[in-house]
Amino acid sequence: MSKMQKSFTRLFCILPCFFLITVLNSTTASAGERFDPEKVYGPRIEKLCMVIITNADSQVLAAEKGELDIVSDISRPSDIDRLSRDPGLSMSLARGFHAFFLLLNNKSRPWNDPEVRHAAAEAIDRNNMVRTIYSGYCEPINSWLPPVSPWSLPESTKNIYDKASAKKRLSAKGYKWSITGGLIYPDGTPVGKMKLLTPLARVAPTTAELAEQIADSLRSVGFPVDVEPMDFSAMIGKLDRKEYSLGVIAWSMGKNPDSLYSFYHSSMDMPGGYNMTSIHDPVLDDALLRLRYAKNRADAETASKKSQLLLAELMPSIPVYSRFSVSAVSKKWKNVFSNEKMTADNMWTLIMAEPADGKERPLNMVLAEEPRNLNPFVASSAYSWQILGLIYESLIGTDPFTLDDMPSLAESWSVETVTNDGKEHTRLTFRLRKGLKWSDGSPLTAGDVKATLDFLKKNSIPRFFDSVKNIRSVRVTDSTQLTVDMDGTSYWYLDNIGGLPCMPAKVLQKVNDWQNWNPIDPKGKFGPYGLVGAGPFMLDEYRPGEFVMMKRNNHYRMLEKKNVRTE
Amino acid sequence: MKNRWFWGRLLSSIGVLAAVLVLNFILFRIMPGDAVSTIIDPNFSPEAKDRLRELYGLDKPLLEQFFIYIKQMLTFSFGLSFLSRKPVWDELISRLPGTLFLMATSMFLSSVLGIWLGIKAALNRGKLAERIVLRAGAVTASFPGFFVQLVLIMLLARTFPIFPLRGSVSIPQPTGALSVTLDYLWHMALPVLSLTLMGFGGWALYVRNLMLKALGEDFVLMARARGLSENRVVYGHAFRTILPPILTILLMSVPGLVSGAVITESVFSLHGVGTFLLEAVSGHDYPSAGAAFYMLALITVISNLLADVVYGLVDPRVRVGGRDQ
Repeated sequence: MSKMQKSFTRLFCILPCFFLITVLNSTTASAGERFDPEKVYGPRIEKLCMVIITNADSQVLAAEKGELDIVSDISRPSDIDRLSRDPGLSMSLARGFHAFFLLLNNKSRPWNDPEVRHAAAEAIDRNNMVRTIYSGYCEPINSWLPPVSPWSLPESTKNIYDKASAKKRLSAKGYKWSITGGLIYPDGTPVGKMKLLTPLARVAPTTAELAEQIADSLRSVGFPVDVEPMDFSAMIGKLDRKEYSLGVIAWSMGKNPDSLYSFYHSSMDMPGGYNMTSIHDPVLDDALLRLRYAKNRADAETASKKSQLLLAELMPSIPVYSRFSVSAVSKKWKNVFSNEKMTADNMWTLIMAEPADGKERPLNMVLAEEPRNLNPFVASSAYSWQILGLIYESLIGTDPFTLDDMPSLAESWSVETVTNDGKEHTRLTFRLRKGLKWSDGSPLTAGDVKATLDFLKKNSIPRFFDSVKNIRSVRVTDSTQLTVDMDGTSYWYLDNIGGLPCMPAKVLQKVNDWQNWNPIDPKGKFGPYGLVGAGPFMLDEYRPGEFVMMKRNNHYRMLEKKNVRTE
Repeated sequence: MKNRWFWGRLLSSIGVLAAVLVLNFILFRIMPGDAVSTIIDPNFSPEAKDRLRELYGLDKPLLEQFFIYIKQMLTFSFGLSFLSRKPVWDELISRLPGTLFLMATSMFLSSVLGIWLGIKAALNRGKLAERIVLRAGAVTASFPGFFVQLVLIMLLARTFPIFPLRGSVSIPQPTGALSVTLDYLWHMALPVLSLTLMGFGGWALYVRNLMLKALGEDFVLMARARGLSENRVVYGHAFRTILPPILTILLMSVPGLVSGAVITESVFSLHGVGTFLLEAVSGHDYPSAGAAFYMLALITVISNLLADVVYGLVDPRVRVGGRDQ
């Protein structure tokens, strides 16, 4: 492929993505408008109604009928097109943290050779797949971190499709082709049939279709690949036991790059571990270890870059695409915020949104699954946390423009490496904002944060286990300052601790059985009734199967800035 | 003899239940994966997964898990759901009234409508009325449920917004008992209508065939010869003879009252047992799925037993013990 052709192909792929982001976001009320998060006041609405609608068709109809003001996570291209045509709705599209990979079993032939893995990566026409299956509402990727991540390398969307180069690589390694086009190992034995594991079409139709297209691409350079659809749990079992040759899987990654350690470090190649490709490389291991236990941001940046470059060199798995997040918002609301990193269904919208006609009414937002449990210690679904995330706030927030850390309950913090008993360890110091209050009006102090950390650590609660397991000690210096000493050193301890939901000490003292505690049970059998947090909203009413009504937390810290407008 | 028959039936029912209990346990355990193994989250380490397994009791030996399970089933204390961490019994009970109302109402309406139309079709054999009933019955019974429901939503909730799109209450909820009741009925109208539409055809075709056979019997000719009114002949004689199979089908449909609502509840976003079952099976929620299937088996066994008893009550020819006389 000539250089000009390559450039054209790249443009052909990238331009529509940016076109989609620009066009869809430009129709949103205050799309991408820069504001100072420290000067925002809100919530400006008194009530937020999360309407439970599990059926995607019903969600679309409800949005068209005006019964929903915000529909999140619209995944079907037909729905996106349909809602885009509705004059009463604005669409927003953002790059997401979702990433789809083709997994290769690095232990088995022919995938134990990085050159062969590179050849397979070059044989896959990602742009065509994204266009034909997802109508362009996805982004082809060539990166092990999603392009939206602030840690992702600039070339994360580079198009590497080049069938001729793939064949050249194979040829250079001594591979030959039979008369029928099948690949032959350098030792003369034909490459045996390989199965590409994929979830069943009735469960994941687009993934199954994508697997077919990947198999076609691989066959076109001689890999004898057949698709084998199976139950998702069975597939995960096979991937875990490494009883596979190829498999497709998608996962959601955090904004930080330390997740790469979980997926590609050799110590994670164990039952239940996430190194499903079985990559074992001492140089990569060293880089990932440095990344995982980086002492400061500079070290983290160096290790992150090195790890990503090594992954690009070793190609243990093949990145395919990252899905865009799409949401629709009624034009009856103003101050709706979205940009290329966040769709309109974000916290800033919920804080700033106001009815365009000035008439106070609840904002109706879809909740795509039943939350089922609102006990923050055991709630595991994203839908439960869609609600709990509005009730509880953490020490550190996420900047809506850069996705970097920004002050939340803590106005400042520091990360130091200190030496104790001859060993280095990380010390985190958080200084809380002054005058913080819980939703019941009582003061929020550093003692509450300590109580939260102690409670989570003492009870080894699975959801928070990894975040708190390395806490060595927590000390309260004064009512607004807290020092957390960790075992060992890691820059990521900051996000692990800073991202935890903070709860009042007086509530935690009354929780006598964290597993069985039902905060919405008025009998209060295993703990106190109600959820007390420091987030922008409070739980007003939960009617299973119907809706979750939230009301404004009148003690929320951002309400104090009411005299400061964002415009 | 009567007692022996009853105890025999009861013992066989208990045997069926025991088999269901054991299969329930084995089938879920031999299914690949468990509630923890499908978690793929880099922030959830294998160590944290082990902690979760411990919490769910999945770290215990299989035999110990089996005895815990049997104890839970026999005492109707089904433990905590893996997914919601709430008592399974509470979850089931909270969802049951909505499902029962939906399914019982639609079953009642579809059976009454179907039986009435079936009788009319049989009485008008070869005429336009019969052809309409036959065609309508065949068409409604053959369309997939979700398709009919989506068309109805599109037509009666979107294009002509007569009914609500979803759920069982308005937001905000009206106040006052009467308003709440009317609001609930308004919300349930479309789901019930859709199930009635899909269900009446089968009844109509079945009853028409039974009635045609019954109307050709000698006792009907005799009744007519005795100068009885047509209504008396049809409902007092012919229809009475086809009651046993109708009652059997009705009673055999009772388990479906609980389980048959999966699609309808999903399309209309209703909070019921159907969606609970679906979530439990797909999420490897052993306590919830085990309890739901156990309850279903229990209802099925009891319904079968009742069908046998009622069959004897409405048809003296098969009344238990009658053969001995």
